[in-house]
Amino acid sequence: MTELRYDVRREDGRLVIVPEGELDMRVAPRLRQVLQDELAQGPSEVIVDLRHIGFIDSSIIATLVGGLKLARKKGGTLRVTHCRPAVRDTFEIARLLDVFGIE
Amino acid sequence: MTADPPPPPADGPGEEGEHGATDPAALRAEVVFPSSARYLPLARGHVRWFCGECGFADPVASRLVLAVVEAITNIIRHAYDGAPEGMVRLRARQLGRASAARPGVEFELLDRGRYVERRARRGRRLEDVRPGGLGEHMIRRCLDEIHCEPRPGGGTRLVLRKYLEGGGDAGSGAQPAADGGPAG
Repeated sequence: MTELRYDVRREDGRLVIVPEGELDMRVAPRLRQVLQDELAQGPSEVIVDLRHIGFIDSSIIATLVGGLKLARKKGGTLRVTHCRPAVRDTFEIARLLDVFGIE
Repeated sequence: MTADPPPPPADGPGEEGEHGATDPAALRAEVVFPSSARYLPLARGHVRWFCGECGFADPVASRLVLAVVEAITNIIRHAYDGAPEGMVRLRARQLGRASAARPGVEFELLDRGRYVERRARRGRRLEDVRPGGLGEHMIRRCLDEIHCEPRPGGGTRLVLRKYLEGGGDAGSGAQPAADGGPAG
């Protein structure tokens, strides 16, 4: 089974998740679990830093949407940062740039 | 937009020999793999290579990779209900080499799973975002033409086309392609 490789750190009350590799349906369930587990521990401000990610698909975007909804329930939010051009384009295709605060 | 007519059924006579055989110099390639997400990197690499050979560059090439991966993901999820015992056939064909037809690329996906009706979707609210529906939306935005039909004997044949110049995405402006026919 493909493992999700990621780093997690907390800074200034925010949770920063930094996954690696290519993200698709193989790792979507694990990413969902990571977001759920980390949000359950307290921080409601989540940043998903995609600087190491070369590819994402709709399963990952839907997972991030789920994470955003969870964060919002806690009065917080989830943002996506450091998208490479192809990854940013995928969010643009999904028409979710603004939702995740992607510039 | 003037579009090539939908390709002949893949299960017709001489399927293997006649597919894309009108121009021997046109690029053609085929990979077959089990219906498991484990093989998605194989599909990505294959599509990216083929797109590059046909003259596509980013961002369009990446969009084509995304579209094909989304289609394969749908096959795994919906046609085979996640079972890895099925097979997925991915055929790639260069378009417009030996004729006045528009240059481009065609990807054909064949499976023997459950045929699932495709429904056109027009926009989504955030609350409605789910992997399958979002994937369909993304496929339409990345391509110029989409053709989907059940196969004799079971399964689905999905044809995805993108032209090198001038083609808009299958989800912009005019009616999105649902089942059969050009998007424009």
